[in-house]
Amino acid sequence: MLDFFTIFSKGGLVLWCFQGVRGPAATAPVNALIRSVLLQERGGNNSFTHEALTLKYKLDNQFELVFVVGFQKILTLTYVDKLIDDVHKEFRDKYRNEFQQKGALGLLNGTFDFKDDFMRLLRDAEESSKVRAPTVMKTFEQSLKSQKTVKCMIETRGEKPKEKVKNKKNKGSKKDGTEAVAAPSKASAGDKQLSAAGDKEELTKDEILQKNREEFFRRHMKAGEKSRSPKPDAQKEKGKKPRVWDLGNSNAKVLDYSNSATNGSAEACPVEEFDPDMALGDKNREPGRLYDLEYESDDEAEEEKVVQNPSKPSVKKGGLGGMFGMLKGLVGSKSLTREDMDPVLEKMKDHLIAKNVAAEIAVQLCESVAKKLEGKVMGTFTTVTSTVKQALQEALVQILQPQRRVDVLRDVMDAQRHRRPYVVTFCGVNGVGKSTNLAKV
Amino acid sequence: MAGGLEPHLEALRRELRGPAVLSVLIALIAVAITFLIWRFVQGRRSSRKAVLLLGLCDAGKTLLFARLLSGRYRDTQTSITDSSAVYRLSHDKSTNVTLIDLPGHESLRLQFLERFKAAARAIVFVVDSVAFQREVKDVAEFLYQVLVDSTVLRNAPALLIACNKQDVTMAKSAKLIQQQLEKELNTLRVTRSAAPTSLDGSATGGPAQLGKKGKDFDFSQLPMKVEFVECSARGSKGEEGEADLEGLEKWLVKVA
Repeated sequence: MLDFFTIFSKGGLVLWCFQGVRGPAATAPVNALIRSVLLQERGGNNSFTHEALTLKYKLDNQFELVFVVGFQKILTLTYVDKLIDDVHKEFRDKYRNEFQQKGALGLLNGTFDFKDDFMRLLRDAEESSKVRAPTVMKTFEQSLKSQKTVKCMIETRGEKPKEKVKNKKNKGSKKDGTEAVAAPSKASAGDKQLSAAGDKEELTKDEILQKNREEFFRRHMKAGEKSRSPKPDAQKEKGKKPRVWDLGNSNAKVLDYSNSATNGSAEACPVEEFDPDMALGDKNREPGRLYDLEYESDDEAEEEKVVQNPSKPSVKKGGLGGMFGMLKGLVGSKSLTREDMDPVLEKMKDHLIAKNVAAEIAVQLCESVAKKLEGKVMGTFTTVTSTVKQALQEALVQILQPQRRVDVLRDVMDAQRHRRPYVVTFCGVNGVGKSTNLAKV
Repeated sequence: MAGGLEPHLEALRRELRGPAVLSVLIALIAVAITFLIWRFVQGRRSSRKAVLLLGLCDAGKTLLFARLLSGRYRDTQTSITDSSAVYRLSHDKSTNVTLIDLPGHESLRLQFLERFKAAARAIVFVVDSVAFQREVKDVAEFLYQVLVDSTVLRNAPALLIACNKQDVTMAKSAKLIQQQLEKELNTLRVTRSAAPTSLDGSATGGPAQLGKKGKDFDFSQLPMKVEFVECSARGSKGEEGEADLEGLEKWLVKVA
């Protein structure tokens, strides 16, 4: 169901092309992709829409190749990303020799007979997307609730005894319920059993519990992907501010502990410690709501501990290797990775924002440059900083080059010849000097 | 003891002063001379063995590049970076030139021209003969930018204007293209000399004057040899047939 799949070099030669559906040739949409995305440095997001087609692409910066796949916009194909990655890997491995040894002549003279491999990969990708195992419901043991120890449930001191007793009863009865019932059942099934027995308050509390847990997981996942790192001081300040509870689960920013997890292991330690303390400290405010969130904070603390522990030894190792890595990076060829580029790009982004470039645009620009440089092999005696700076400079020059001819006098002569007025419009916000300049002109 | 050592030290010092210092000086001079010779040879060897393929977007540069080097037709897309390869002239196996295909897109062309202009022994400016009428001004502007460049004026590489896409019936002839370009460049001389100077200060003392002042612009007024050639990278028989590149190849032999 793909319209086409093209592999071409950055120099412009099409190495291999697959026309799936009998349709118009691939050149026009791909040219549009190149001109509007790659040359305008909008390469952060890897898909592009052109008329009725959606184009997804991937750059190989080591061998200077571009992989583009096009399919109809109305279709939502889930296997496309994976397909591109697989094709990229396979193509690169298969023709590695040609790229490395012969350079441009290799590209020109080589025959890239990739059709069979591609059809195989396409079939695999299509099959993997069709076959989806029916989602099995989690057993109680698999769910998180079973992993909460009794200890953390008891920590709630100073709470209304009614709530405490009720919730304890909840947990205990839930556990009993599932032990009795052999069939796997979600925690909510257990809830529902109890809701008949309990009153309305219990039901809503459990629902809130579920909702909070889901939201927490969502936030945790999202924070793990984004590597936006607020300053450590700001993070501490946010933590110590008195919390405001509207409905308990709406103000995502205040409740977003997960930002600290992305600061690196150094940041995680303080966060782990003060979560339970803070939870205990604030429980005088709204004890009822607090109980749910304490669960989550403890939950989060436990999981953070689990997550951070494996990463800590790797950071220690990185400290030693970093010294040699610096020297290694200076001499010899090594390929750029995201981790190398991130600190430099952060600095560049801050610099751009300080110079009055809109934050969103600065982010997109840095993303695009990162995509362009990922996997590129650096020459000898070039540092990461210099490479990234050079690439960013080139990208900015490229964007700022005028796309069309700017020759006012020439156009004026043309207009005079055709007896047409040549119109020059002065536009801008108030106060920049339009009338002043106009008077001078 | 100290008294006994001193005359020894004096003798040593005297010995070392004479020949040792001299030998050190000679060594340094030898190193310096070697270095200079090496730089000179490098400069000679790498200077100007390249033939650049310039032109607007979609003029057919990459296809021309592919045809010259491999003889086969290849599909092409808009180039984002340059590609270079060594081109062996068919009769004479010893001489070879490096063909460099530069991207024609507006945001990239000047950047790449800056990088490769110093190494250019000859420039092939590819013109799309079919779309020429529409694009006259853009073609002329790019050509003007190439011609007034200080490095190009200094080195004066041979210039060939290849009128590509002659296999299409609506293609304009080389003569017509030459006349139109001359007229357009004539006008551009006037308008560009009045244009504001660029911020990087590359044009020291204002933009260079193209051709002779009083007379109309003519390609013969340029310091370099200019020729016009018709060619067709696709070839009259379509993708399978041979490309019509005779004039181009003859010129390359002459230039190399």
